[in-house]
Amino acid sequence: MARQHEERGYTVRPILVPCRPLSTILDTYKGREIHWLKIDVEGMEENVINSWEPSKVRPWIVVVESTKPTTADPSHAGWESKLLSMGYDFAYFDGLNRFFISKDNVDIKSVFGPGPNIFDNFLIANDAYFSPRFSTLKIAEEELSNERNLRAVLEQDLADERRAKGAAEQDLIAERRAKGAAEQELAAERRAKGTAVQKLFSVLDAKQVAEQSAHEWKENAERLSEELHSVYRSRSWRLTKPYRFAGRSLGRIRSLLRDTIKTRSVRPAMRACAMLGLTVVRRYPSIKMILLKSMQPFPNFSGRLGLFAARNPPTGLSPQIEGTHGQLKWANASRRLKKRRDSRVADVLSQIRE
Amino acid sequence: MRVAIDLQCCQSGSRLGGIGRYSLELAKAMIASSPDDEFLILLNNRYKDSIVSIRSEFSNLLPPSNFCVFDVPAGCSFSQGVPERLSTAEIIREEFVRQLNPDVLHIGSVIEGLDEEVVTSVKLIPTGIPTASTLYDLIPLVNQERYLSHEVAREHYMQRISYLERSDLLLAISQYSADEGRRLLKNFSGDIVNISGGIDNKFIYRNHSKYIFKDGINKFGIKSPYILYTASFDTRKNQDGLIKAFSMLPDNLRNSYQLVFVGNGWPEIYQKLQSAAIKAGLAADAIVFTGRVDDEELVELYRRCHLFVFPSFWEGLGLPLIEAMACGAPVIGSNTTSLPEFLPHPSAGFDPKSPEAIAEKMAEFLQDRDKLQWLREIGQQYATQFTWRASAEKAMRALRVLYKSRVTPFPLHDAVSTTGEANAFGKLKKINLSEDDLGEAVKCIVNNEAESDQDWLHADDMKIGWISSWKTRCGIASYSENLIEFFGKKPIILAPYAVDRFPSPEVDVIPCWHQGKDDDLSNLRLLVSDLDLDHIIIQFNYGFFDFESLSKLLDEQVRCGVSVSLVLHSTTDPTNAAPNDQLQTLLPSLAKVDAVFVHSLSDCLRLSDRGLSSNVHLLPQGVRLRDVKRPKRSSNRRRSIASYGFFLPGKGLPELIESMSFMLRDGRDFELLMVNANYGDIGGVSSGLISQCKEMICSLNLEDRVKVIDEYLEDEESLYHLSNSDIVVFPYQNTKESSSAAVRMGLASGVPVAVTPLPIFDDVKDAVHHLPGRTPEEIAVGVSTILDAIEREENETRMVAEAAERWRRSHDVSQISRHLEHRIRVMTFGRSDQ
Repeated sequence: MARQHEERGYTVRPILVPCRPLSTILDTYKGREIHWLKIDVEGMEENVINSWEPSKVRPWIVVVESTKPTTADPSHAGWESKLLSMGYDFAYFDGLNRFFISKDNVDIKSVFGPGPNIFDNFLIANDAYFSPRFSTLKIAEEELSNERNLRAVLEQDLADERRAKGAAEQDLIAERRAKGAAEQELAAERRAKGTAVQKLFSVLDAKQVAEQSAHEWKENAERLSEELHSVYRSRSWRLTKPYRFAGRSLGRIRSLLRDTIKTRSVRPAMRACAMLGLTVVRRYPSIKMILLKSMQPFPNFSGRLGLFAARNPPTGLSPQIEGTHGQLKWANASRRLKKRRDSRVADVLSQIRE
Repeated sequence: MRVAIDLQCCQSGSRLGGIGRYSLELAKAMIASSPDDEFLILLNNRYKDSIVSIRSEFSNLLPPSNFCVFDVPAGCSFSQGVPERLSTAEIIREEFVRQLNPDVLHIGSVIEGLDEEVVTSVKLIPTGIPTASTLYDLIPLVNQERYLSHEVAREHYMQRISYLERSDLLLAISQYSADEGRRLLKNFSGDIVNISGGIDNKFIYRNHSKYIFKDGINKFGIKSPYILYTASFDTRKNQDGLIKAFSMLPDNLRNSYQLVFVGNGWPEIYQKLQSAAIKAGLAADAIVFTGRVDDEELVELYRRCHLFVFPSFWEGLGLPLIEAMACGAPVIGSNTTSLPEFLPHPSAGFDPKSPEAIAEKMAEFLQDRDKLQWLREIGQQYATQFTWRASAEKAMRALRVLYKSRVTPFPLHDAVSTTGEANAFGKLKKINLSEDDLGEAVKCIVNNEAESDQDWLHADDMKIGWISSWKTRCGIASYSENLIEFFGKKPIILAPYAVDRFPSPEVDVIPCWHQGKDDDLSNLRLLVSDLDLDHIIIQFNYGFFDFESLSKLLDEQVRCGVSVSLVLHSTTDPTNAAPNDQLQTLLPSLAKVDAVFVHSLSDCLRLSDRGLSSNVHLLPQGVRLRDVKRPKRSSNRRRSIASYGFFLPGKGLPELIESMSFMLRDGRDFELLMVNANYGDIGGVSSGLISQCKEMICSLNLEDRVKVIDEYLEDEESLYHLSNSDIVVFPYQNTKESSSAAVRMGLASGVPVAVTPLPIFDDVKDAVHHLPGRTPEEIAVGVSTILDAIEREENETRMVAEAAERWRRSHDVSQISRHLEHRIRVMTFGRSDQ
């Protein structure tokens, strides 16, 4: 018993209590009429009843708990015979207790009729099992569970579809990415080729321009020297000074000529090309590997390019433009999410307000 | 059974007192003792700072996903005097619980929230979830004029009592409290079960060398043998009476003892008690106030006192009494309220109202050495029954009964709560909220829905960018790979330019940045904007990024409204780091991101020291669990010991080899498999140690018993070897590391683990076996004893195995991954803290 209660979470504390045979207890009431004796000792009924020696004191009615504690299992087998042998008749069982009537008071027996029954004119509570409302509730419950099952099936279908859609989207993305990469490679190739051709053209152009101007200068110089000579021939006494002057001019012109060819046309063009290439490569990192690979046969050139890149760190777009570009992109993403959240907020709000 | 435990009382002011401690220990023990049940811990997001430390308390017991943090509107404490707000908060919290749908709910403490935004109502909306509450005591109810004279306090308390009464089950901390509850809670109709209380292990393991008291207790001014009392300075604790009683002792006793009061008092109360003492004729140094002491000092004070006296008028549970007994102090105490339950013998009780009676009882024991010794012994014996495990088992039994007997003849509460007036929205409708308050409430509701993972959160796909090293022999690369494997929607990996571009069918990998300090991350930044990502998560380690560029990247994205988080794999600056390579540089940007994840409590504390705490979250490092098929061990197979970790000095590997010869001498036919890889350091320290150990194996004639695998193995292969052994031993001698990654692998293998007694193993201490010492002899004895105990399936080894299993489950990388994905989703779609 104690163990059972303990399992329900109650604390069990053993307490010693004095035990006395039933007959001693009855004897203390000698001379008085006992109408009702209830024995409720949590399973120790047999011990109690067996301690009942014949006594002058005879209760009219004896009620004994006759099921095992907290169950409906009968437990009177062990003690009923003794009670009967002591002159008590069984009268009534109420589901928990057995009632016995002393042979000396048989007339009381007539009071113990049938148990609670239809002639008692009872009413049924709404939530009782027999209530008509109960069956409606049952049906509602069943419908609900059917609907739930249906919903589960539908949800499963939906999930499958979503998954399929997700997979298809994944494929599409992969395809797009592959296509994008191929296109980029092609573009890069084209761009590289274009750059090379352009470079060639610009070199040729520069050469032509240089040759052209060199030719002009040469002609000028010839004409000038012709004139000088004529001056010299005509006014010989003034010769020395102007000749030196002309000679110095010629030297200056020559160095100017060299500078022009070297810096004014070809190098800026090359520099511009390389800068453009660098920007493209920085924008599309994947091209970098391809370019580096294709330049492997020209270690000198690629080395110089590397140096060039190092000397020209990316400035990119101006910070303002870059920022705006990013903000525009991201604003889209966060707007989508914000919308989802906001729509849920609106949803909840309307549910509370409605 | 799915059990939700509301631990707001471990966040509120109660966390510092008995209620917080009781709830925390009880919850931990409930989880530890119920391997088959699922537990959810409910916490309040208004007390954000407390969440990390509570999580870390449970880090070896629960996966991170089992913490459910809810939002309630600000300004909802009772004393703020806006009842609409409080009711709204209560409904919002109950709605959250309904969505979590536990089988039972246990509320650590209902009597909360007078001055704090702690919300603990019971069954205001029909959730159909059986609710249990802890019943501590009803002192204010019994003694109203003293504790509830203030009108607001009274109203609040009465409301909380009504919540207690609405509970389906009360878990009382003592039989006295249970009886009192039955008597005083008139409207309560459920069961009240006494689950009693336990005491902390540190009071039981009092002989542990760690708790040897070095400073002495002289610093408190204790000179002579002393009598001890520990309590707060509330008048019901009756310090006054004890002083009077002390002054009534016979002269010889009074002059040879001091009376020591432990407790967090204040100058006025000390003065008041001191002058009472002097008035009673005591010398000025007869009484000592220690103030608040730490637990180690408390243990020492208990151990050394000659008598512990507990003269309190009123206690729901006398924990100090049990603690003192467990530490070996003889105790006497009041025979009122719950205290007789905790006294070891009725003869140790006295009437606290009578100083004479107290004095008499003190003298009775102090004058009789044998009687005092007897009291000490029965007390120590009696205290052993008060363990948290026992309390937890009682609580779980009661919860299980509650769950089974729950009233569900008509499981229609779903239908009711989604339509009728009784549901959360219906109830909120009835509260007349201002527009602002309503907006705030709805925000909380939506946040909570996100937290409990409602459907709408999954309506859109997320596009996550995952910036991390990838497919290299780097811990963070494999960390990322492990986590991503369990992601439902795979992120796009933004990896460093690696040697190979890794084509992978499952995840997109785009190499776009250079590891190191030279990349200004401009490519990464452009790419991130082109990809149109919803969330960016960055695996951070020193040396991965140039901090200023990373800072720029973070700021830019946060400014643009992208959700960003980081996982910090390290939080300590490398020695001699340049100013730009210190975490300080990143802090302003880190403060702006949605979340900073770290692996341990010490990381959290380090960041908190630098002012970063509100967005810092704990994300334990997971281990991969595999269903390792252990070969059925035939009885005549040799038992095998394994070791694991890099082959380095300080790890005790030579000692382990030597211990094998001791075991052999004792007739133990064991074999040893050393899965210890060569560290490959340039100095060759590791290689040198390996050859030294191999020579040792030869000279000890152990070639046929000891096998060394010193090449580097993949985790999977290492795990295979470990899981085939009978025990994995970590015989560390000394190490500067603060925690061991190797021991985590050992635990992941599912095989019993034994470690030497070192603080490095503190974070796994319940889940491993402890060797008696570090010498080869001690290792040999320890390993043999543990293997025997496992063979015999002793109770203690079973407990360790259970704790190890809990540890494995709480560190299961699939759980952690799912948690992370959910957090990212919540950050991205749902919760907005701004």
